[in-house]
Amino acid sequence: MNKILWLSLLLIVSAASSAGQFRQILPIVTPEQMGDEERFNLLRYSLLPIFDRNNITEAVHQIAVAWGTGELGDWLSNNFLNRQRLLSTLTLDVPRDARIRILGIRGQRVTSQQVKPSDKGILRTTVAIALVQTQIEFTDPSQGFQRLTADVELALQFEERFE
Amino acid sequence: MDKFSRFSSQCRGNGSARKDFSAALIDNTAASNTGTIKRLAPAVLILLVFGIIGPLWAAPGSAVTGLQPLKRTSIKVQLLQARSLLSSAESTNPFDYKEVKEDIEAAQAGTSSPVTLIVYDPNSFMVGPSIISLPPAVFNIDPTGYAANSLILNENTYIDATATALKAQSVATGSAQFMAGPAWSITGSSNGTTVSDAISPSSMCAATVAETTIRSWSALPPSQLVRLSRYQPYQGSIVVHPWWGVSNE
Repeated sequence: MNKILWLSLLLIVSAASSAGQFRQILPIVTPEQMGDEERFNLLRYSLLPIFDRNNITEAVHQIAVAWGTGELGDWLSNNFLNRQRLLSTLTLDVPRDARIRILGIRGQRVTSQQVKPSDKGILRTTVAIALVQTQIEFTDPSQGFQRLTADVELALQFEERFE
Repeated sequence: MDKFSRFSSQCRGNGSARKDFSAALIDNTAASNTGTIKRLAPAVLILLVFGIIGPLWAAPGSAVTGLQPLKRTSIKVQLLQARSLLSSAESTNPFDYKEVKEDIEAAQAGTSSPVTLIVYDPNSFMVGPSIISLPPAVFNIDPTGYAANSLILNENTYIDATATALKAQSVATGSAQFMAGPAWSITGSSNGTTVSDAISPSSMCAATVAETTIRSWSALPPSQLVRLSRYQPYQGSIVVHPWWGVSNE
């Protein structure tokens, strides 16, 4: 009788095991398993101040100013699509007196954030999206004062260094 | 004599025993106190070390951890991307630059479907609320037209019939005009032959214009008011702001 029971148990176990696989232990790295440097950096990262959303607001306004003063190139990332084309358009096609007014920032959110050690301290890279309502104002020679409003989505990258 | 009375009499009759008993009691209490202090001493010591000395020693900036409050020393801001948005109802798909690039490359190689060009209201430099209400007209365009700053409308020209106002004038070889109203028509000429077709407002119909070249648009600098995207009937996506980053290359 016992033999039958053992045989049944063996069959059940073998059937179950053939349907899957053994679970694997995937250890999660804990501070104890880290090296001293890693642990030290982790501790330092925890001391970073929270990203200040005022940075976004300030950047948006400064970019708007740069747009009208011909300094937008300083703000554009090298990866900005058609970077050179935009700059040449601003130079050649946009009226000289055109300015962008920020009517409002409807929303802003941080989409990604990376922290890594750098030569001098810590480098934190934050990418944020701001939904901005803009209005371009300029005087057209034939049509007079013009106001052109638009909803613009700006993707901004902030590189902050901490020491 | 009950037991209690007997005990009392014994106590009364034995004064020295009482004294001994009291002394023993006192000694025992003293010994007990000393033992408690001895037992508590390590705990008190630990409390002293970890409660007072420890925090002082491990305070931020001390030599124990080397951790100091981090201060921001610099910030660099870059604009990665800027694009104008259509209303939420129309912005169903994000504008995919990679896709556009592939479209252009495929069209230039002549191996795939034509590139789609979406033209916005020529009377405005910008895509804004006043323009948002005007869904874009969509053209299949030969990308080589860009070289001459002109728009070449190939056959299967699509126009979004829900648009309400869009004009194109001053065509060197003739004229092209998009009429506002429930039905649209497109008129153009190619090599002296005038072609025209009406476009049903109920669907995105193909115009039978074989080839119409519009070399200039009134108030429409092609470099500013065009964008490329896959053709999606009645689905605008995200409009690239003409002055922010138009993509028609």
